[in-house]
Amino acid sequence: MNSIRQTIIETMAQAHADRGRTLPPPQDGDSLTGTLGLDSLDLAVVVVRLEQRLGRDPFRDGRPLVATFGELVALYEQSGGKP
Amino acid sequence: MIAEQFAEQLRLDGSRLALRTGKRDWSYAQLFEQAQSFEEQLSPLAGRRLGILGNDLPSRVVGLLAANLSGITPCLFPCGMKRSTIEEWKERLGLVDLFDASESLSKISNQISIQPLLPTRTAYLPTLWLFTSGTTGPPQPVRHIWQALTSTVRIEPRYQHRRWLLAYDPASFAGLQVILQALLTGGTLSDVSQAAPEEAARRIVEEKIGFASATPTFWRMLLGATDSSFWKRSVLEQITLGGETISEATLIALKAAFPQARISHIYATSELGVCFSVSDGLAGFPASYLQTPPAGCQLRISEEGELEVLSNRQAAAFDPQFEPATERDAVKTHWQATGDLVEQSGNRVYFVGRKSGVIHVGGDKVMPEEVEAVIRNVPGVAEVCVSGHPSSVLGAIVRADVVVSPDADTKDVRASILAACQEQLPRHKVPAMIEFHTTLPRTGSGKLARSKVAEQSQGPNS
Repeated sequence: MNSIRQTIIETMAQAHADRGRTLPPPQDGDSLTGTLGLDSLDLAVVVVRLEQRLGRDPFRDGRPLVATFGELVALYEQSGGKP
Repeated sequence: MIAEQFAEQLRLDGSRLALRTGKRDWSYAQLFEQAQSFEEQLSPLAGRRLGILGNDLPSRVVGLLAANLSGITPCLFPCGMKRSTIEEWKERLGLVDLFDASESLSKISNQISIQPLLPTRTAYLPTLWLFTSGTTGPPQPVRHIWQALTSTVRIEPRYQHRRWLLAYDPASFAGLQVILQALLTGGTLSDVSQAAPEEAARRIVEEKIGFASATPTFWRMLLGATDSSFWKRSVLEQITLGGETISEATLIALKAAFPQARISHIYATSELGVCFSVSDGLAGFPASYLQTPPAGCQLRISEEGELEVLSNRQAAAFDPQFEPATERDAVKTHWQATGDLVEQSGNRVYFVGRKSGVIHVGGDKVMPEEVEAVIRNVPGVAEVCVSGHPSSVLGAIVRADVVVSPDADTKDVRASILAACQEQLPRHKVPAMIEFHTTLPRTGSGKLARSKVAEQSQGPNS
């Protein structure tokens, strides 16, 4: 199991669960704001919680958000460190 | 808008486009003609105060122009203010009536091309009322001197006949500044203040916007909604940021997306007017401003670390009964606290938060006390402190630090807090993080030590 990917899925599922919703099983090509139903507030929450769990925030340098689930996973994998 | 200065643009070229709403375009001649059509109705009200309403930019501009032509002092109500609140202020400010040009404008066809008559007389109106953005409570009216409002309009050749973006509420102080800048220099103003990010991005490119003034959150949403190649077609040459604290990260992202644009930020409030701008591409402002103040504005830092300002452009004294005859009567310039906490680091002064603890979640403001009041009523909660947690996406998100009663289960309490907040608060105010503690820090007098709770919760980049 890819643990970074799993951590991201859990964090997104938690953000949905807090609002009484269920996250569909994410595929790499899924749009974060479209298919996965996350808006800017959800994404802000996911990024902060991932920083607590993974110890890093790849958006801290001011880069704009990414569009798909696969791009988000790749970004956290590239940004290094171990979960 | 001073009708005389607006009319100057008519003399030059009345057919020039003044406003673009995404639905239709308005020329300088069309707007002026509409304003004149109300002159007969409004001129008996000369010398009185009139409330200006309207559901879009053209109706606001026509309302302002019509008031000016008839010698009336306008009071601009924000879009979305409740009717009952408007009626209350109408009473308190002694407004003679409320004026809304929207309905009349919606009936005007796009085909009108008659060159309107130039004004034979124009009244010089010294003041205008508008409302604060409500950072520290409900919106409050402030009175500004026209002369001070227009004194920051840049009229150099570089700013003449350009294309501007309106991303602020047209009735806000920031919105009015953009409207004046665009229309007093013969520019074309595209209104995206109610557009979704994708729509705003498309219009910036298609309508060839050169000058754009907006909040950092507006830009973060725009950059998130587009890919980097999208902006290659943009001709933006100046980006002005305002309204929120600006981080280095946002400045870097904007420079990457718009390498050809000059990026500056403005420090202004509805009450203080435009204080100063910073255009070196760095966050905060140069510490040299404290010794060598920027034009029209002196700065100092109080012992508590709050920025204080002595501004030549500040709003006039609030007294609805008093009608000033001269600028000197109206404005008693004095040092004013801004509510912004700052820290000096070397040659730079950085903004570190609001004194009142207001949390800015994107463009939305959250008062911690309001959220705390809801959480405190949840069974099992002993103590709570709500603060902003830094977010690279939205600037901040709402965080609650909670102490539970001895017999309560944190998991149950967490679920109850979320349920209560979701039921009673708009979504941006619902805590996105809930942290549990055995105690919260208190001051010597037993008050919650907010700054210490915040210290625990804020990272080094906050």
